[in-house]
Amino acid sequence: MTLEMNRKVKDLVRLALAAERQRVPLKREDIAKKVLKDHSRAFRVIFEKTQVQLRRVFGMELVELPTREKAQQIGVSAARRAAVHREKTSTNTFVLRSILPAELRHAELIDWGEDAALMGFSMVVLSLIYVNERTLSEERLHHYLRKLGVTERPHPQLKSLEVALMRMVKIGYLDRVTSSGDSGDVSAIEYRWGPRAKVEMDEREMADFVVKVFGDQAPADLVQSIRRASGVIDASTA
Amino acid sequence: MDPRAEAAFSQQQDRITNREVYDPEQPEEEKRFLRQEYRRLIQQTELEHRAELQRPDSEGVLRNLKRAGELIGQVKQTYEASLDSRLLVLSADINHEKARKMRVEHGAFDSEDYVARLVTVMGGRQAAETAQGAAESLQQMDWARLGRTAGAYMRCVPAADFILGPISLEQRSRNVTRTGQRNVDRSAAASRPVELTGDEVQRQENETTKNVMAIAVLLEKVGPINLFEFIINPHSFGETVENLFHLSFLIRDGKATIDDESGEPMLACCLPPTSDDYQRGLTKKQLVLELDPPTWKVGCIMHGDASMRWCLPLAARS
Repeated sequence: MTLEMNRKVKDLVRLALAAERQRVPLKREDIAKKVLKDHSRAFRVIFEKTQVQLRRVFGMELVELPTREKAQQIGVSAARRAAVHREKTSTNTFVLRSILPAELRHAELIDWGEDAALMGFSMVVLSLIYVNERTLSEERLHHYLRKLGVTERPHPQLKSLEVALMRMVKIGYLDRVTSSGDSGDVSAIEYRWGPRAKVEMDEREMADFVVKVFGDQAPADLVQSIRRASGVIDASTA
Repeated sequence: MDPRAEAAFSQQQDRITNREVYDPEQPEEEKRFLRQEYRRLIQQTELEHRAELQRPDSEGVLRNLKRAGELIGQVKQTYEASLDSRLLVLSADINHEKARKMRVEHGAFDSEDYVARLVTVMGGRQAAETAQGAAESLQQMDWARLGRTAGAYMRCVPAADFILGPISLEQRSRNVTRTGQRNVDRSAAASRPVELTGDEVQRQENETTKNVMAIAVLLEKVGPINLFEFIINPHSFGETVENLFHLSFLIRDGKATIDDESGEPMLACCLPPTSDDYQRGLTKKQLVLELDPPTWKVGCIMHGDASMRWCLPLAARS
C-alpha cells in the first residue's frame, strides 16, 4: 500500500467516525470531495481497505443504506410492500454498523453516555411498529407512548414526545409517511422503519428484545406470535 | 324514417337514459335529503364511533351499511353515489382493523400487554409508590437503563467522542477565506474604462483630416502612380486599409482620380470639379472597393517592394 493510499484510508476512517458521531449518513460524493479529491476513481480500492481497518480496529463496518420506500398509499400490506421494494438501486449513502458478536454486545460493556435514553426509546418505538405489521398510525403510537409517560409535556430524559420522534426521523430510524385522505380532509400519518433501522435492526434480535421485556412470564409461543404480528406469513409458524 | 326503426331508436334511448338509475332532473329536495343522510352516516362512522365500532360485538358498521343500502335505491346522481362509496370504503377500513383486533384476542401478540411490561421493566410500578401523581411516576421511568439493554439487541455504533470535529469543517473554513481573497483580487484588478473627454474626440477627428492631407501631399509628390503600389503596406493589412480609407476622402472630394484606361488603376492628383461642372450635368457616383487579406497579399507580391517607400511615413506616425 502506497503512502498516499494509506493516508486516504485513514482519512476515510476518520470521516466515517465523525459522520457517525453526528449520526449523519455519509454520502459517496462527500467521500470523493473530502477524502479522494483528485482520485475519485480509487473509491472501490480505498473503500475496501477502509472496511478492513474499521472491522479490525473498531469492530464496525460501513453499510449502504437501503433505498427509501416510495411514498405509498397507507394501508398497503407489508407483504405487498416487500414485493414492490425488491427492485432497488444503490443509494451511495453509508452508515456505520457494529459487527461485534452478540455475546460481546450482551455483556453491556459499552458506555452509551447520553445516547442511552434515546436508544431505549427508539427500540420501544421500532418494536411497537414491528409488532403492528410494520406500520403504526401516529394516533396509535401516541397512545402507546402516553402509557409510557411520554407526552407533549416536557420529559426529563427525552425532552418531549415530538422532539424524540423528530430526532428518530432525522437519524433515519423512522419514516414518517403522510397521506391526505381521498377527499383531502383528514390527513393520516403513519410511521415505519427508516433506512437506518433496517440496517441496524435484525428481526430475530428485535423479537429477542421483546421476549426479554416479558422476562420470566413470556408465553412459550411468544416468538412465533411476534413474527405473525410483524406481518410475516411463513409455513413454519402458521 | 321507417316507423319500426324509430320505435327501436326510442326504446334504445329509454334504456340509456333510464330514469330509474340516472336522473339528471332529480328534485333538489331529494338530493339534499340523501346528502344529509350520507353525511350523517359517514360522520357517525368516521369520528364519533370509530373506537366503539372496533369492539368485536359492535353492530354499528352493519347498521350504518344497512341504512346506506336503503338509501342507494333513491340515489340518481353521481355526487350522492360517490358519498355512498366513501361510506363503503370507510366501513371496510374499520372492519379491517376490527379483524386485526380480533386476532389479538385469540392469543396473538398483544401490544397493550407489551407496553404494560415495558412500564414494569423501566421501574414505572415502583416509582408509582413513591411519587404523588401517576403522570409524574411515569416520567421517572428509566429509559437509559432500557437503552443499555437495547444496545445488546441493535447494531448501533457508539459515538466516537475522541474525534476532534469532522474533516469537512476544516475544509469549509478554508474555502471561505479563499473566496474572500478572490473577491479582493477581482476588485483590485478591475480597471476603470477610459473616459473620453470632448478634447480627445476633437483630436481624433483632426487625426483623420491630418492623414488625408498628408496623403494628398504625398500623392502630389509621387503621382501618378499605381493605386496598389501607393496604398499597400506589405507589413500591415490594417494600415493598408487605413491608407485606402484616407485616400477615399480625396477621391470623394475629386482631388484625386483613378484612371484604368491603361489596364492598371492609375492614381493621380487633379483639380476638383467646380460648381459650373456640376451644372453642366456632372453627377456623383459611388463605388465600393473591396480589400480583403487575400487581395492584400496578392498586392504585396506585385507591389510590395515598390510601395515600401510611400508607406513608411504613415507607419512611422503610428
